[in-house]
Amino acid sequence: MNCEVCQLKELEVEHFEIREVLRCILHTIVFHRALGLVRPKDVDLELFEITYVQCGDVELEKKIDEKIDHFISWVEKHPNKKSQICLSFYEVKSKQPSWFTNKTERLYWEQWYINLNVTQHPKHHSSKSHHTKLVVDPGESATEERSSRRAMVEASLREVLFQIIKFVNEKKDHVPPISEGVIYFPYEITIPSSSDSAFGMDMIKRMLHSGHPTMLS
Amino acid sequence: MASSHSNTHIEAAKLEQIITEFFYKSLLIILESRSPYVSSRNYSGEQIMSSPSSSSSSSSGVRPRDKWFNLALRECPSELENFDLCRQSNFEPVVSDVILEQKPLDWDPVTFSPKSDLVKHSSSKDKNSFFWNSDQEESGCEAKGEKVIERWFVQHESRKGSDCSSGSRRSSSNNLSALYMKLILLLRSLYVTFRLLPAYKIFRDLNSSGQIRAFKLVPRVSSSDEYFTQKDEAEMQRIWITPVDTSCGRLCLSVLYRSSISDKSSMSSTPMSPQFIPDYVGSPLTDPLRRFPSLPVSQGSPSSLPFSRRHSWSFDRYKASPPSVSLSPSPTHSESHALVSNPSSRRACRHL
Repeated sequence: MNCEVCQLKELEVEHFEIREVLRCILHTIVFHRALGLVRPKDVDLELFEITYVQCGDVELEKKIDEKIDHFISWVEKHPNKKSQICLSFYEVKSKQPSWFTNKTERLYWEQWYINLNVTQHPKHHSSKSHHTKLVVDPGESATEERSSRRAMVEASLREVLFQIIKFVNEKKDHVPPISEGVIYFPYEITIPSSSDSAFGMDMIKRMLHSGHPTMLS
Repeated sequence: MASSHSNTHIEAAKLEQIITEFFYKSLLIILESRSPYVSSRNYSGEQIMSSPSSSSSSSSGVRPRDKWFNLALRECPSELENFDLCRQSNFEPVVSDVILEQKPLDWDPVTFSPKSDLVKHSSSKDKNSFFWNSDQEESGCEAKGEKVIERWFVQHESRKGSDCSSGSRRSSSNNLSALYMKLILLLRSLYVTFRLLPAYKIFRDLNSSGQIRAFKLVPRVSSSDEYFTQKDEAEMQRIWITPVDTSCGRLCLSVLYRSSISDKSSMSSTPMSPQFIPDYVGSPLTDPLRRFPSLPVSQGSPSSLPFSRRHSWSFDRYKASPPSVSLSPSPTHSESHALVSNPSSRRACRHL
C-alpha cells in the first residue's frame, strides 16, 4: 500500500505558542481521520483568531496533550532548533508467525510532518532605524512588532490548516476502510527524542518500512 | 438475471439516498455554522461525550440521521426538514447565502430601551426556500441593510447520458462504500472550512455575546441565486473543494466569500428585503446567460479533476442545450444552473 506523505509548511513560533499551534494542527488532522461517528467540538484558540475542530474524544485529547508536553520538554532542552513532529496513521497486520516472532506489524499508509522553528522571544534592539520613535515610546513599537508577528503566525497557521484540507481532499484513495465501532484510525505521534540521531534513525526506519516518501509541496 | 437487475436498482436507490443525505448534511452544516440559533456552540453539554458509536444511540443522544456520514450535529431546524429535499432526487443545485443584516435599533422613548428587532420577509415565490431567523414570525416592516458575505454552492453535476435513478453497473456496493467514505471526508473538510472563513468570527461573536448587536447573520437557502454586482464580485474570493465522483456525475462544493468583512459603514444603505427570483438567468424565460468576470485559471488546479473546465461554479458541460432549472414543485429537469465566467476577473481562487 502507498504511504502518502504530507510535509506541512514550516511555522516559526515562540515557546509559549507551541501548545496551541500543535493542538490545532494535530486535532485538525485527526478530525479528518476520525471517520467513525463523532460529534465535533469547536475549540477557540486563545492566542490566535482561529477556531479548530476536535473529535470530542476525551482520551484522544489526553494522548495528544501528553505528546505535546513531551515535545515542549524536548524543546526546552534544545532551544532555537528546527524540529519536526510526525503524525502517522497505520494498519495493523499480522506477520507470518515463526519460532522467534509472533508479532504484528504496522503498515503506515499516511504520514504528516509538522515543521516548527521554535524561536526565542526577540529582544528589542536599540539599533533599529526608527530611533525617534524608540526614544519617545519604545514600548509602543515593541507592541506593534509583537502584534505584527502574531498576525503573521496566525496567517501561517491558517495556511497550514488549508494545506491539510487540500491534502485530505486531493488524496483519498489510499485511506483504508474504517472498522465498525472504531472512531479513528490507529495513529502514532513521533517527536524528536533526546538524541537527534535516534530521531533521525526512527524516521529512516519508517521510511524504509513504508516505501519512499512522496514530497508534497 | 432478474435478481441482478433488481440488485442494480437497489444500488441505484442507495446512491440516490446517499446523494440526497449529502445535500441535507451540507445544509445542516451551513446552518449550524452560521446561524446562532442552530449552532452547537450554545449546547456545550452535548459535546462532552466519548465514543458515541460505542454506546447505544439512545444513551448518547445520537439520532438516526446523525449517523449519516458519521457526523452528529445539532438537531435539525424544522425549516430544513421541510426544505424539499425530494427535489434533490434530480440533484438540483442548492445555493446558500449567509447575509449580514444590519438591525435597526428602535428605542422606546419611554424606557430608553431597544425594541425587539423587526424583520420583514416578503412572501417567497419559491416555496422551497427559507430564511433561518428566529424573528421570522414577528410582524413589522423595517428597512435594513443587507450584505451577502458568503455564498455556498452544493450541487451534483450529472455526467451526460447518466441518470442516477436508473440502474448502473457502476453502482456496485464497493463503489458505494468508497463513495460514502469520500463524502465523509468531504463533509469533515466542509465543517472545518466553515470555521476558517472570516464570517465565522462574526458568528462566534454574535453567539457568545449576550448584548444586543447591531448586526446578525441570516443564512438563506434556495435553489436559485441572485447575481452580485461587479463591485461585490471583485471583493469576493472563491474556494473550491475537490469534488467527489459518483457513478453518474460528481458532487461539488464551493463558496464565494468576502475576505474582509468591514464595519457597518460599508453596509448598503439601500434596504434590501428578501426576494426569491424564480426566473433567473439561464432559465428559458429570461435573457441569455449573463457573463461573469471569470476567475483566473489556477495553477494549482487539481490534475485529479477529470472534468477540467473554467471556473464556473456549476454547469452541466456535457449537455448541448442551455441549462435550465425548474423551480416548480415537481421538477422536470435534471440539468444544472449555469454561470459563465468572464476572463477579465482577478478574483483569487483556492482549490482545496
